Amino acid sequence: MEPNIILSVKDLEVKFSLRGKTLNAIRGVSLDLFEGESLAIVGESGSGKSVFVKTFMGLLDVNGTITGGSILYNGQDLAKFKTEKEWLTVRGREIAMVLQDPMTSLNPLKTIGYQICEAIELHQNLHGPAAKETAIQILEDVGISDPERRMKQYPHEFSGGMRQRVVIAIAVACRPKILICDEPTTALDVTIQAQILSLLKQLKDKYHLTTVYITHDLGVVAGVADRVAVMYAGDIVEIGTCEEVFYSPRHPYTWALLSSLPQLGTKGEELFSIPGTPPNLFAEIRGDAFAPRNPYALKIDYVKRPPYFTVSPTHKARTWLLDPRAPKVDPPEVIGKLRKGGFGSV
Amino acid sequence: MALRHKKTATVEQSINQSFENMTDDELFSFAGFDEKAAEKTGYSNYSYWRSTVQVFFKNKTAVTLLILIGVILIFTFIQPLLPGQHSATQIFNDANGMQLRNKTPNAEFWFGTNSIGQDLWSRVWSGTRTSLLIGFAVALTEALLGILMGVLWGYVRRLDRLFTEIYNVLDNIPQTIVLILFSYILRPSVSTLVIAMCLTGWLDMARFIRNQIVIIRDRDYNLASRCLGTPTRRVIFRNLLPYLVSVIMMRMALAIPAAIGNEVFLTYIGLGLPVSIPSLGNLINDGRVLMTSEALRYQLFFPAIVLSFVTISFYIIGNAFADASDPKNHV
Amino acid sequence: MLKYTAKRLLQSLVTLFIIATIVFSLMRLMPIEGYFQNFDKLDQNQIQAALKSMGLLDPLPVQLKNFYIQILHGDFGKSLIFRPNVPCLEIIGDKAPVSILMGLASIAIALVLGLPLGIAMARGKSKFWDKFGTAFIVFITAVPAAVYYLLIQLYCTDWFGVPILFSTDDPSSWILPTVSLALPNIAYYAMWLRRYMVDELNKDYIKLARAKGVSSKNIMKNHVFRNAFVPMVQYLPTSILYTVAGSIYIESLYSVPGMGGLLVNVIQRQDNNMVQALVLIYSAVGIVGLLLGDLLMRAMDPRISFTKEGGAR
Repeated sequence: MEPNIILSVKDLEVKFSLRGKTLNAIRGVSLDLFEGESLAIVGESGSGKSVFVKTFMGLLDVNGTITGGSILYNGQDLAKFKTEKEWLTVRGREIAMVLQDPMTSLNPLKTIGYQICEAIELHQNLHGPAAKETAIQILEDVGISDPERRMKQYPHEFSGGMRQRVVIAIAVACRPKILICDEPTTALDVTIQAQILSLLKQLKDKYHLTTVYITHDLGVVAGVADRVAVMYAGDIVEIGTCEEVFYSPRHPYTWALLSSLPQLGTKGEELFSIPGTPPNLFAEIRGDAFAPRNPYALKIDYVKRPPYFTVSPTHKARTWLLDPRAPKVDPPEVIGKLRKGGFGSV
Repeated sequence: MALRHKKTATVEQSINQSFENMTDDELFSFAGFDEKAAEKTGYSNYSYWRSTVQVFFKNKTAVTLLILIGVILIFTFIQPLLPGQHSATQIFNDANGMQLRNKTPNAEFWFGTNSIGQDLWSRVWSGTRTSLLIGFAVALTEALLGILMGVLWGYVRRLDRLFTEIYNVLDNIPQTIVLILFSYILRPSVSTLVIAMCLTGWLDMARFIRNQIVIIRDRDYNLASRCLGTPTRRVIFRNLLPYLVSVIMMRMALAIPAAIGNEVFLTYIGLGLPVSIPSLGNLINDGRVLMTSEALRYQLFFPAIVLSFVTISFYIIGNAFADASDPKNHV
Repeated sequence: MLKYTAKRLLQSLVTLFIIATIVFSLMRLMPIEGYFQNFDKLDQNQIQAALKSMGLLDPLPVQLKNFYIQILHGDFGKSLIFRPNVPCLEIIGDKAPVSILMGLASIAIALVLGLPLGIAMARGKSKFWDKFGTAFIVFITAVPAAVYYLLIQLYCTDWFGVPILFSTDDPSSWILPTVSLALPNIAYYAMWLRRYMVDELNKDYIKLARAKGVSSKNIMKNHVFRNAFVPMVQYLPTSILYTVAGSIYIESLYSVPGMGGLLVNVIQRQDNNMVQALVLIYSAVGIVGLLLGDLLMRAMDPRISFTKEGGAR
């Protein structure tokens, strides 16, 4: 059975203007999100993964604009939305978000009861005691004990992990179809991370959510995602199921990314790190953005942007190495180790 | 802009052409890997001071005002030396020995004369000099004292509690009261005014420095310095102060208009400089006495305009510098 | 909270005690003319006798002790020159009501105009209000008050046909001093509110509120304004109390018979006891303002127990 496409992004371009200069944050990204799936978007900081998902909710900073492409959701093109009124039909109600740092993403001067009820009253059309009851129910769902008492408390009375549960409760209280988790565990202790991830998985099933994770932690990806999209310099360079991307990656950037996993290092040897720095997105990028850092770069990589080459029906990568004319290159040896060793964490 | 576009376009074309002539075999051969080229893609050439200066100079208003203030400052010093200038304190008489009182602006006395026949033009510049002198002296003293106390307060942990308690008490004393009380007791002169204003002014600076130091003190790079055995003094001067310098400069720029304003205030309530020393404060006070007579209002306007210009300029420059020194505003 | 209140109260008392000591000691350094109505006509013996009767020849510690006892009894001494032999507190008591009334009126004006200006500027939607507000704030905070107070008095009296001097019976004579008095507060309130609201707007919880679908209007109202008001509360009592205690400039410019004008008057006439009493009262007002501000802010912010006690504000 072919899964339904719930959200479809085509050739999306986002530009930021910073003091007269233009930054090309998203450079023609296409992505289909399937209903009920769990997609992880990975990439180093600055690769545009956060900006990309913010466009789904109209949450770009004021100096950022969508300059091309479309985001189709429910028969509407979100990329064409201009007014706040239009966005309010989507934000929370259809797509909700969990932010990275639970220490700062709650209003310190409002009780968490208020902050959850605010979402419930907006999107579930419940008010007063009914909203409160629902809030208590949701708090229980996210694993907060004694919810009635906790409702009246302020964020500072909660630990980091508990606050993230509250943030998740707020997102879930909107009853969204899609839940975007922007680095949901980055700011948390390792022990808490696993709890939060398993909670998110539970809630996904319970509330029939489609989830999008943004992360740079490949351990998180392996734990929660069905599919993985690898972003580099404002572009998805490789996308496929978890197994495909981890066990038979095709893009040199994905190779480099996986090689830098500490788990793949050999004791006594230096850990692998990707040479160089990400490209300056203020400048127009020609060809493959990763070429200057890519030991396997072809001359054509400097001239022409590679198209997507289909590896399997679910697996695509943007690299000239997949062109039949290209020389055959084997992925670095360490990638093979992944298959044997699996992931240490999660 | 258009020119640059054209230029990059031609460079691209030349590359394209050379590649267009390539065969597929060539195109799909390895380009080779150059570690240096990989590093070059990043945005690494950032310098805090250069960016601060750049951002500041983008603010045209502030730069213009800075230049004008510089010109005024120099002018107040060279004005008495210029030819055809009158003395600021000499009383001028006409042919009959009568004082040239309240003469409206004319070719001889550009800003007119005051109620006892002194040249207002010279007095305004002389007064501006006095007021700026007070402003700079106060700003400098406050900064030095504030930095010294702040660094001690923030960096020497043993002193923290004591200093905090002292601060809490001193900070509760209203500044105006200190100003009035000390000016009341001390005989008014430029130095006593400066002392009275500095008595409380350094507190804010010290608190700011202390807070910044406490914030930065335990940051990793300082911890690392200490672990390597760098002496405290060196950590303060190398790691902490440079970070604070821009904010200190901004505070000094803002202390100047405040000090000038305080001088006006003290003069107004009768605790200012003696009339023999022209200052913007007592020029305005003199002008105020005569302002009900419409013909004599120029005696209030000239000093008031110069005063407003000077204080607003420093205020805008200080704030522009504050914006520029904030790394968030750097590209 | 109770512990903090007690601690803070004690701190204020200590400060007040220190100020009283300093003020009293400094006053002893003043020329003795300030203790006599007709200094020039007295001979040396009369002066010594009078000083002795006032207790001014006692050793300083004894004088200080007597001074504390006096103050604790609410006795601030008698006026020497301004209105000889009338208790200072009585003179001040006569003057205070006008200052308080005018101060309250101007605070009301400042809140009504300043807060909306700050909000309009923080929202940044309207270029006009942003530009106007910034220019206004720069002007008011940079230019010494004397200058614009003078200009207002000079021109507005003509334009609006209101009297140039104050009289209690003529309501139109209240307008200019009250509005002038409100100007700095309008600028400060707008400036503070704008700054704090912009600070709040950049925080993560605003992003989360937007992400959950709260409209900008409600975010402004329920989150930003409320949170920005908390740090403002710390300054409000001081600014209100100072305004109510009378403006030195305004009252002397318009001859308002209030406390601020009185201070200028007694300074110029060197009435030592009056200066001492007024300085003490103004200090107390300032200290009480700061105390109230700190307590109010603590009461409004639930994070109290987490903020460090005893740190510098």
